[in-house]
Amino acid sequence: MPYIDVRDVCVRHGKNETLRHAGFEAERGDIVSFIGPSGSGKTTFLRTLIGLQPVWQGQMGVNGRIVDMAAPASARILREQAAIVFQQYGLFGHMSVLRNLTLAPTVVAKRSRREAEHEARALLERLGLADKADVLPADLSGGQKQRVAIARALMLRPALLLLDEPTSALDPHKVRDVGVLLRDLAQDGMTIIQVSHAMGVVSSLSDRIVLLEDGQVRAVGTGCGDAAQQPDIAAFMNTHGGDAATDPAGSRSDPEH
Amino acid sequence: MTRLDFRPVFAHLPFLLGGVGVTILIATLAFVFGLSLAVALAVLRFENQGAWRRLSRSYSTALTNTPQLSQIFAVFYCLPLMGLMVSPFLSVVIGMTLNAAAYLADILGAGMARVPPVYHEVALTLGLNRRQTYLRVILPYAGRAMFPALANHFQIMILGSAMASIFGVEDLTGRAYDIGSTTFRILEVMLVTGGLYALLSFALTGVFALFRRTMERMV
Repeated sequence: MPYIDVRDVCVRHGKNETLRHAGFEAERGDIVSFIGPSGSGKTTFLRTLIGLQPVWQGQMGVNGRIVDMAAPASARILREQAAIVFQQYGLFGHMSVLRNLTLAPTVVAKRSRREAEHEARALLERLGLADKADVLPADLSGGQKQRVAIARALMLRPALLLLDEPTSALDPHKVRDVGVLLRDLAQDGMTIIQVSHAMGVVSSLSDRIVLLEDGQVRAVGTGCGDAAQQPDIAAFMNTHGGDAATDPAGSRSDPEH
Repeated sequence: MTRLDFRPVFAHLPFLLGGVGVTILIATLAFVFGLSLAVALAVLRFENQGAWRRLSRSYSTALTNTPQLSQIFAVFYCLPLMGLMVSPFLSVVIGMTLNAAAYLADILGAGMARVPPVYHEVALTLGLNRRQTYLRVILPYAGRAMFPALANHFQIMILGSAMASIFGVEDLTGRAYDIGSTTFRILEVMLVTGGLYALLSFALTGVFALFRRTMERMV
């Protein structure tokens, strides 16, 4: 049984079906990328995985635990195992970077503030933000905000990390840094699902690529250079600027370069 | 032409200064209780679309479009009719509280509308419940964003509390009337009283600026 097993997810907005029987599988430590044209349902699909999007039907299995995604109580269960990094980051502007990271662990998980701050500072140091702990998000660059948002998600110790366009606002150097970070997290056993339009990043980072079109999964392929094996995915990536050779995120086999 | 003579007023200065404390107390109590009520009103209109929202808005409309003095009179005379005997001091505090809540709900509502929509979803995905989201995210953000307006309203309430004197409360203005009626130096005592209100207002401006800087450091 796959570690992540999402099946038959349907989302309706009035009479429109924005997701139609969508599903995918992933193993522990996989990086899965949702690709597809605008309006194909990528972000909607991502949001269903953390209970932000009401679904008509669908089920999600994480490590053998099956959740009926249409059930009213499913959102809470989904959020226990997943964390999301929004495209707009959503860092709380009235709190320091450190407090952004420790809010949920102290208020929700009731961990001691001292322990949470210790972990948060270690995480910030790992992400090269050790000197930013006490500043406000407004004083950070786009790339720094991105990493703080990822750090905040990691403080929840999720089994599943969801990222909505993680590299959309970053310069090529930062894209590479985020790529290295995601690969490190995956190697530590975290399963990562991202929505991305950056085909270079998708091609180099992904273990699996899910192509969505018109709310349906059109094709599923393996990534990391093998995307061309699936004709629909290869065609989409070629049309939308896929070129792993110029990928700034680095390759899977050698994430430092 | 009569010359100004402040000596009788200065002779009563300790008594007059005692009224400053009463003025601050009235405004502070009304502000704190009014803010608490305003939070409830603002959340009501923020969370709901239907009748509750209209009710909250109607409250603010009604109380911001009628004189505060009339509202205090209403409290002063209506509560005894309902069998509730309250002191003039308490009547003034209740009347000012109800009025402040209407204005402060509008201010907080504007602040809450400025909270980025993504914050609600972030709070949800971090596991915060509704109460925690309001207490930790929405209200602190709105409060900081609207701090100048909130501080400004408190200053208006300090000055507006002079109405308490009409109901026999010995606040700064009430004591000024007392001194004026015994010394017959009403112009002088009112000039000194006006100066004290101005000093109080300037001092509050400083206190709020200090409070804001402290608040910004406590992030």
